[in-house]
Amino acid sequence: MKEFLTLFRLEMKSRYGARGTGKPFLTVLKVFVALVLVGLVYAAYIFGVKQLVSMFYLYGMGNEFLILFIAFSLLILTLFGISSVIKNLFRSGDNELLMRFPVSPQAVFASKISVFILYQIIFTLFIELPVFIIFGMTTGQGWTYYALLPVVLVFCILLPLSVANLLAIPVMQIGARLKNMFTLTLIVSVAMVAAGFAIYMSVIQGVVNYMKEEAMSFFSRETMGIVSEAAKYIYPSNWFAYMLIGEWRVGASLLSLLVVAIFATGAFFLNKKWYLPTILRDIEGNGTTFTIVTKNKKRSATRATFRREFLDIFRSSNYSFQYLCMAVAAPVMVYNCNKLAATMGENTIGAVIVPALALMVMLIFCAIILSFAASSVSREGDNFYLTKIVPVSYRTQVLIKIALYMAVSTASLLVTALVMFLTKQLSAAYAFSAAGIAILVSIAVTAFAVRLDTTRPQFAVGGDGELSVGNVSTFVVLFVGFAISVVYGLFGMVGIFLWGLTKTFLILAGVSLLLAVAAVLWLMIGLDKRYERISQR
Amino acid sequence: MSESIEKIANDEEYLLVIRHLKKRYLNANRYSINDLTLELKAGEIFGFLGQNGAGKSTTIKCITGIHPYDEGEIKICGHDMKTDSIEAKKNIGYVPDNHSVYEKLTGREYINYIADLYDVSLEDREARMERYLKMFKISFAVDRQIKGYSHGMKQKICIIAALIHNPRLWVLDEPMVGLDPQSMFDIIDEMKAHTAAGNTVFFSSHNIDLVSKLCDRVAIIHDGELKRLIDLHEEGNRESLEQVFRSLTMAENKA
Repeated sequence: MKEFLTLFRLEMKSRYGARGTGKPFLTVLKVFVALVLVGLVYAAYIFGVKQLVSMFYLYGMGNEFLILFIAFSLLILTLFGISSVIKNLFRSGDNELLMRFPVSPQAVFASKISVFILYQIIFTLFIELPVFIIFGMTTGQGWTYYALLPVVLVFCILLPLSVANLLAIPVMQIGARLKNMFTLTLIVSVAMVAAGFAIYMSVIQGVVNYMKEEAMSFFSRETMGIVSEAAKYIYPSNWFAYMLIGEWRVGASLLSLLVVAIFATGAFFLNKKWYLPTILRDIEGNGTTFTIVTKNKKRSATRATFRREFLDIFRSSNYSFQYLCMAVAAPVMVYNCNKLAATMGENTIGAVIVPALALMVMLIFCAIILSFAASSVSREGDNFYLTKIVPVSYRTQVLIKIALYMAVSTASLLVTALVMFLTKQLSAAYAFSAAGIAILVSIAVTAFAVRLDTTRPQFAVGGDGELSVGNVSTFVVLFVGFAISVVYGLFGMVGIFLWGLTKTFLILAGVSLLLAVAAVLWLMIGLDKRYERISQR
Repeated sequence: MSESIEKIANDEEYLLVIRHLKKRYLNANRYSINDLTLELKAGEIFGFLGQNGAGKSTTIKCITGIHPYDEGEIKICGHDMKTDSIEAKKNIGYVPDNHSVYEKLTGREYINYIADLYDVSLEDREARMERYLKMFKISFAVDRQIKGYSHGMKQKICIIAALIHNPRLWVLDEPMVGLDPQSMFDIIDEMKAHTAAGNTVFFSSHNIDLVSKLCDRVAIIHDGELKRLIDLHEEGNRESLEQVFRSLTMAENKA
């Protein structure tokens, strides 16, 4: 027990220790801003849930909602669980270190899994519990519903935890096989992100339609039939739900208990037998790599750096997902958002504001993609010294990175404009004008992001040489990018009514040009001196 | 700039000139390097000795352009590291102590990348690559991703990348750590061959025995200050190097 507590404290410290700014006012301000933001998002979540529950209940599909919600939660927690189990239990950076000390693998396992259980409890209490309560209140459930709720919540924690533990080892093995299939991984990631987003937007669209018309626009009779029929077979979510709502309660309770017990026992014995051998094998096989036979080829320093930077992103599943995947999936996302935004906007102030909304959505995705530029120096990690010793000016090196970011974001924006034009969301002139404005803003955001990172890079890389902690500059860029998007969107909507679309776009283009010039100047002036000052001890 | 420094910097005999170098890290209350002056001639192997934290790596990082410095002057082949850094860097090949490289690249991709940055012709890079890959016996792994390399193999790739442009000044920070004996002999042979061609080797080490056998001259640094500059060709200096090192560093420690 003492061993476990020591390791648990160590685990918590390594995650949350020593993270103050040292300035009390700034710390309080940060906490306050974070609380306000979280509060706003949470309020929106509760509001959305209430609408969703009411919508399902109104059309006699309350029970189906509960089953689907439990299934969705279990799925999310299992997926998150697999990723967490692999990352924190099997591939934790300190495994190699801990194995050298006289601590039992069981204590290491228990300390790490406890942190994960803690996360699941927080998720269950803040995300799942309100939904169950709203459901209970909306559908007028009796005391047995609330009495059995804690049991279901415990099941909702235990089952994904057990399944995640059972699946983690096979997933690790599949992952190891797919590790070096970069193109395939990127294609699959893009497809999954785009599909997930499209489904998500369809649900939101349904809610919006419901809120607007309060009519059966989301569910056709056919859809309702399919959902009702499918819900009967979503095991064990339906058993959990039946337990609560009193449908076949005893049988459902026993089956739920049985399934949780089987998976938990399986996970316990699997980990008891395989935890240590798996982490040892992973430590040993950490260098699983590929072989590519290439020829020696001379390239200019610019081309060589551009290529190296691209390969560094492309050959990392993390970076590739954060940057390339988002850039490739952006057109699908913008299309869906526009569709939704247009539906919402049309009924309130009219279809004329759609171009402004489209621009806002494009800018939001640009901010997401380009926030990656805020770690352009930090990502060099332990190799940062190389950028200092090579006979290529810092200015050139930085410009090459910017060129790569701009090439990808510009391509993404142009494809987005083409999609908007082809799907008749916007005319060719306005679609490409919006893209043009977004490209100018992209230059500004990229220059701003790189400026932040050249001022205060964070070289906290993990064993795989990739950034291991969130970069503060990335969050700042995201925040600024979102702020610009909202301001542009609002200005565009108002401007369209005041001066018409063409004039509004011209004003925004002018402002964007000024922003781009200002940001580039802010980056370039004193860049060499700033870069020279960056050093790792 | 004083007249004497200008005179030395223009003198082809010196490939590296360090004059009155001072370096203090941010928030540090003392200089990590304090008034260091060194001149390295063409064709010599120069050893840099000192205890942990003496300032060896910091000096090397200033020479290679990794760290900025507060005062003094560093000239590589006559090019000032502050005012003419690109030309100065063209003449340096650097092997770091942590042998960090872009591990997502293959060995060949990495060496080609570095060769591109130094504008090495295709013929030269192919000839040098073939020679060094054979010498360090890692031809079999050159098309593998570096991530899977052992400690020693990464070190060898760093060395090949540092030599691919045939630098006038080859700087190595603790080069022998983690290498097998044969690879150590190969590096020693290459150091000798490199200096025989009129270039200079500057390396830091904790291995006094190696330094005494290999180097022409050696500098002992302690607490950021140069304590002794020793010509090992002078009679008795090779034999007494360990004793001198111990007396200089121990006396300081006691004080």
